[in-house]
Parts: sequence; C-alpha cells; structure tokens
Amino acid sequence: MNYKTVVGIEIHLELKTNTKMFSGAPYTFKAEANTLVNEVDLGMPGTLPCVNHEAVRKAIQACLALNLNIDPLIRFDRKNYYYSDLPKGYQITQQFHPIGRDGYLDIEAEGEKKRIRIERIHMEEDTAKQFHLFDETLIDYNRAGVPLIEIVSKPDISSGLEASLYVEKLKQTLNYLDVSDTKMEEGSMRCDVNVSINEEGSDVFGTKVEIKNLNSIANIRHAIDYEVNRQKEALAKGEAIHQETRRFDEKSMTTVLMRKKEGNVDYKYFPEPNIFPIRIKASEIEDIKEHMPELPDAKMARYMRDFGLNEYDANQLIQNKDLSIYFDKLVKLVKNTRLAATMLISELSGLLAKRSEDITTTKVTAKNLATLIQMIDDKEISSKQGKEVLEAMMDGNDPKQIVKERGMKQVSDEGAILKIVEEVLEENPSSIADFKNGKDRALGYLVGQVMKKSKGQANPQLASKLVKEKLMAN
Amino acid sequence: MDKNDIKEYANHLMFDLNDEELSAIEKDFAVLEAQLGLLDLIDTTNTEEMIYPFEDDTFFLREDNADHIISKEDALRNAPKEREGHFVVPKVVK
Repeated sequence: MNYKTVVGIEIHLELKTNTKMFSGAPYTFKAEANTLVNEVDLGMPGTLPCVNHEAVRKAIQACLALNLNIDPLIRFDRKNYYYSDLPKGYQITQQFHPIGRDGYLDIEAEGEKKRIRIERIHMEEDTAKQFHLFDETLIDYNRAGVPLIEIVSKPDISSGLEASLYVEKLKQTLNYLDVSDTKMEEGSMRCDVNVSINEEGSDVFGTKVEIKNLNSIANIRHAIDYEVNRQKEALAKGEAIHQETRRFDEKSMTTVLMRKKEGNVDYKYFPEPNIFPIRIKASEIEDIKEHMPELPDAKMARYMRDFGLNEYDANQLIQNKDLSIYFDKLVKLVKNTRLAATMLISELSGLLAKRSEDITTTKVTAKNLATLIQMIDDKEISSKQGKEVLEAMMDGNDPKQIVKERGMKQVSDEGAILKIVEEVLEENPSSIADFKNGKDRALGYLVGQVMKKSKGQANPQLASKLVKEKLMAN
Repeated sequence: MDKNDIKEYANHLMFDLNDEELSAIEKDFAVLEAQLGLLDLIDTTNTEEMIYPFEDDTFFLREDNADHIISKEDALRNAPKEREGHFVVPKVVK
C-alpha cells in the first residue's frame, strides 16, 4: 500500500529582547540560576503583567516576513495548568486572538518550489528551566517569562527533507530579521513535529504522533524519516497507530515513546483579565514594514543582479548573515565585486576556519581586504601573492605594508619584463633551438627563468606572452 | 454539587475537609447555585459577551528597558528546599 506523509511543525522561538514579556527583568542565556527574576516572574501575589513593546514589535516583524495577516488588537489569554515550571499556575498566551494568521513560507525542495502555509503566530511567555535528577527536580526561574512566539504550520509538509528545509529557511529568515538568535542548541528555537501517514488518495488523516524537542535541523529530518517508517511497518503488521508523544534518541537514531495521550488536557483557557486589549496603531505597523531588514531571498537576488555573482557564490554569502553583512561593506569599496566574493568565500573564510575565528571577530577589516582586492585586480600583485598577503593580514596588518616589506610587487611594466626576457633568451640559446625543433616544453622553461630572474614578481601572463612573441619573431 | 464533588475539588487544591466542613460547604453551595441560577433567567440573546469592565482599547506598552530584579536570596526565600541556587521540588516529569 502507498502512503502519503503528512507533517505539521510547531516552533517556539525566544525573542531577542532586553527584558521579559511581562516584566522588566533582564534575561541572558548564560547567567547564574535564579538571578534574573523579579516578583512578576515568580508569580508573587499582587503583581501585574506589563506587555513588552519590543516583543510585540518583533512578533509583528516575524508576521510580516512570513506573510501573515496581523491582528492590530493585541489580546492575551490564560492557559491554566499546575506545574512547577510555571510559578503563576498559568501561562499567558494568545489562544483566541493570535497576533498573526494565514501566512506562508516558500521552500525549494529537490529543485521544486513549494509553499508551506503558516496557520498562526502567537505571543506567549517561556517557562522555567528544570533539571530532573533521580528523585528531585531543580528549578531555575531565569527563563520564566522570556518572550516567545509560536509559529504553527499547516500540515503541508510531506517528508523529512521538506521539514528540514522549512525549518532551515525559517531559521535563516528570523535570524536576518534579528527577532531571535535562533540557536537550537541553546533552546532559543525549539521544534515539535506532528507526523502521520495516510493512504494515497484518501482524505482521511492518519493518527498523528508528536515528536518533541528536536534540537537540530538534521535531527528533524532523521526523526521524521524514522517515524514514517515505524508507522508504515506498524500498519503493515496490522497494528494501530496510537496518539502519543515521542522523543528522538540521538544515539539510536530512533523515536522513543514518552507518553500516551489520553484525551485532550483541558487548559480552561479564558481571556487574561490583567491585560486589557491593546491597540497597535496602523502607523506603527507601517513603520515596522518600512524598516524591515532585507530578507535572504531579496539579498540573494540583489547579489546576483547588482554584483554579477553566480547562484552558488550568492548562496554561500547569504547562508551566513554576518558574512553577508561583511560583504555588503566590502562591496562598496571595490570595483571587482566577483573577485571580492571569491576572496571572501574561498580565501578569507578558509583562513578563518583554520584559525577557529569568525567573520565578526576577524582583524581583517573590509577596508584592508578591499585594498588587497584592488591590488590584485590592478595586477600589482598576482593572485597567488594575494593569498600570501591575506594570510599575513590575519593579524591586522596593512596589505600595502606587507607587499612593500616582502618586496612582492608584481611587475606588469612591459618594458621591464621585456628586458629580462631578452636577457634570458640570450643566456639560453639551446632552449631557443629546442623550441624551434618543436619542443613546447622549452617555452615553459624559458618563462620559468624569467620568473626566477624577476624574483617571482613578473606578471606571469605577460612574461609568457612576451617570451612567445620573441621566439616567434626570431 | 454533592459531597463527593467537593471532596474531589478539595483534593485538587491539596487540602483535607472533615465531615462537618463538608456539610457546611455543601449547604453553602446549594445557596450559591440557586443564586447563580437566577442569572440563567436573564435573556442574553443578541447580547455580545463583555470581557473587560470598559470597552475602550488601551495603547500602553512597556519599553524594553531593564528595571529591577530581586536578589537570589530573596527569590529563594519561598523555596521549599534549595540547592546550588535552585529551587528543589519532588520530581514530576510532565
């Protein structure tokens, strides 16, 4: 029997703000436990929530980038449940009126464009971090109250590959927007997937299984691929699929049962009485729209159109936001934009990787790199020499200085090279004879002698051309 | 609402009731239910639900500037048990 895979994805994303969703307590990922909390976060009696403007702005940015319709009347609801990760006994979320509805994100899977619809984006607060020991649980409330958005896709995804592409594109887009640092390994971006399979051609959805807390894009793909196979095998054996929550076990690369779902938990949602509906002015949304950062797709198109980059190079640059920011700076300072891209992608990135540095901390300034590129482009030095200079620039040295100190200048002055060519030919009459007798190797040898005599500084193309011309004329 | 319902709710809220208290609450509830029943007599067809005491939108949002936090010692004063700066509770994995 043929089955169709149906996947829906929920993503929780911590917003990059200074303070929490409903309190002015600051938050950073690496801080001593329970040192970034105040009365509101701990749910002390008599405290009241106060909505963070920047969190709302970032949620609106995410909605705009993902093409959702924005509800300008911000309303919150209570989700009631009694658990130690939530000191108030409820989570403030947007159950009934999410800030955004009905958006989409286009992905490209195996050469084909596919639109993944997004059902909703809503704002809520994060819960405390718990560390489960043998028979006790340690709680750090620093994370309680951190602004989150939840992005819920429609079940439009039909394979593990598509799921990983969707999450990757989403991660990249949200990272460019700077709404979140999207670090899956630190938990600022968390991903739950719902997987079901149904018979090809049937409208009836299969029973869906939820896989929670996938911590990398590769694992999303592995977990879904494994789960689809598990379900297929179960159905083939005549077993039923149960509605349950599973987790991905990285060691065995399988999904493992966490708990069976018995009916829906009743969270007794009701409108949050402590926060009145807040109207966002149309002018503010317009203003956010006008100041949206350039998104990866637009940036890639611009690189190809304005700077003549090929798709591969343009893609290499946008894959890393910081690299593309560096390129934006660099490209303003150079004439040869393609050479600039190559120097950045192939040469500088390679050297940085070797030294375990990255583009944000490199001592090679865009200005210095531009100078180097210009020297190569003007044939003052060869591209081979360029690599050597770049390596010497890694500690912040000036390229002109390096070239001068190492006496590296490439000689492109025809007269100067011609003089050396003539000397070399005079000294090597046997090679001239060899060449005339059809031994092409002699040409290479003579050019090599010219390069040697010029201490490697002659422009090799020019030297070769001149030697050839001289031999032919002889 | 009978004694069993009340017992169950009390249990959810983590306290015990003796028979005397149960009877008293059962009696009180009968009165409460009768009073709430009066609300059902009001015709609310075509009346929109009202959630907040006034219907004007508000506009205030807090700017994203850090204000105060409380000390770790104060935060942990409510902890039933404490270890290495963490609240310690019996393990319940959700």
